[in-house]
Amino acid sequence: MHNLVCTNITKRYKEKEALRQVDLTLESGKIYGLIGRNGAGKTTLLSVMTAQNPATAGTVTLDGQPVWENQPVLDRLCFSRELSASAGSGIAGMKIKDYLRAAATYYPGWDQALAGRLVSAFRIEPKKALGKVNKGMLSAVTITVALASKAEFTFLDEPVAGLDVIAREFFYKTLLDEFAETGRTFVISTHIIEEAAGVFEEVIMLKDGRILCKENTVGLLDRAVQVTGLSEAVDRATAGLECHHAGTVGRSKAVTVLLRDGERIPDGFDVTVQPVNLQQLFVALCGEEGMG
Amino acid sequence: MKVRCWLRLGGEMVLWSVLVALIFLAYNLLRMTGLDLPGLLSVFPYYILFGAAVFSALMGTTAYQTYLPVYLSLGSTRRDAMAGIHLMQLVLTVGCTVLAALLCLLVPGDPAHDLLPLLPAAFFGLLLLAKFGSLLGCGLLTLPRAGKVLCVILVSLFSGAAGFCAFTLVDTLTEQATLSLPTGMTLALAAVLVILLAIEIPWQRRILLRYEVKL
Repeated sequence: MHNLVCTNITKRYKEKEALRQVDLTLESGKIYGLIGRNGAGKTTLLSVMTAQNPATAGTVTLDGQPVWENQPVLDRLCFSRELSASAGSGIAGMKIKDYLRAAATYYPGWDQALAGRLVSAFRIEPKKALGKVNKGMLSAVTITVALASKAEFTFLDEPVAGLDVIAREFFYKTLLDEFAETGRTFVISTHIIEEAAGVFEEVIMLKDGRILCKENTVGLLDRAVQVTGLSEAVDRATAGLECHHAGTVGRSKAVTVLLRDGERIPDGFDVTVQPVNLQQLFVALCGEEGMG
Repeated sequence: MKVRCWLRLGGEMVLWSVLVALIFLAYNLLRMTGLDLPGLLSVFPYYILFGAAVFSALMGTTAYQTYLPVYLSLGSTRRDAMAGIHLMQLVLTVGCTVLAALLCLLVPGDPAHDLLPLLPAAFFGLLLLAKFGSLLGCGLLTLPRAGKVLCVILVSLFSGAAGFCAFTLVDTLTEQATLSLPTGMTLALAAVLVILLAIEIPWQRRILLRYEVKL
């Protein structure tokens, strides 16, 4: 068992605090889903964990060894960043084949055969410059680098952005095949929550630079329910419980409840109790009042 | 140290410098009245050095804009990236200078032989241009908007000067078939190089410790 541990990570950009005293432990052999709203600090967290950005405070270690400026440790990590090779970007002129060749040089476990299969499956055009291809192909390139790197801890930031549904299905299948075969750890940051939910063994929710929860996905969903009914009945049924994201329409009310150990919605109230999916739970936990 | 990508880049730039030299050679050929192959070959090393000069300055800047974020995103340490930039410039400079020296020794004719004593100065000159490019790259990354504008103006001036030098070089080599440099030029270039390094290294170190990867 290997552990990537973040201790008291803070990241500040001038006035804004992107990460606030984050403590997080990632265990090897799991697929984690990292979800949060835009600006919640997902990319910043991944960047700091992989030493691509320096933290303002705190430390990141892998099996007790610091990640920062430590090549043997960095060799075990891969953060395949979301590429946004716009015309003004420095990498816009770089050819895909050169980018992949550099990746092959840097990752000691690089699997050229797998990279070749993915390039072919995603119909990547290696001779094209990164700035000349569409968003889908850029995503395919980041996926190719992430999977072919064979890094023990692999981080993907919005890997399916811009991919069509067939390519997305192919990605999830390939990811699961790779996970089954190697037991590598994957951390996937995404906004397409419901589609990816089935892949996540654990989910990490980030809100305003803080970890809101890190929990087994099935366990989390098992204890989350939506209670609907007349406002008064819902209020009485959920009294004393951890309620989130209450919404009212006329006299009706719907509220998402996160039950703690041993808690349940009491019988005897005229309310409907339904399970919620990960996306609904995310909206309930992270949605701002007036936007949900 | 993981600097293979940087070394490869330096090697590729040597090849690009040779390509530029071949283009100038072709241009020279067009200006000649008759085909003088030994004469043509004897000016080839000059053009290689000119190509190296252009790429030294360009790669200094491009290294920070393009390759640094890519290599750091692929798991390079900042220490290796810092060393890599210097090694890339050294490979380009040494590669082209050695190539020019070999040609000077192999090709018959005065122009090539005349270049041999100038090679130490050329070596330091190329490194100096590389550091000039590096400083511009650092400036583009860290300076406020006015500084960036200044860097862009300097790049434009350098490009203009390089173009002017190119045509002057061709004219001079076509007519006189040789170049000369003032005595003491090598030492002067080496001294300026030391000064530029003294500015670049602390600046580069400061940048790399705070650098945030964005692709």
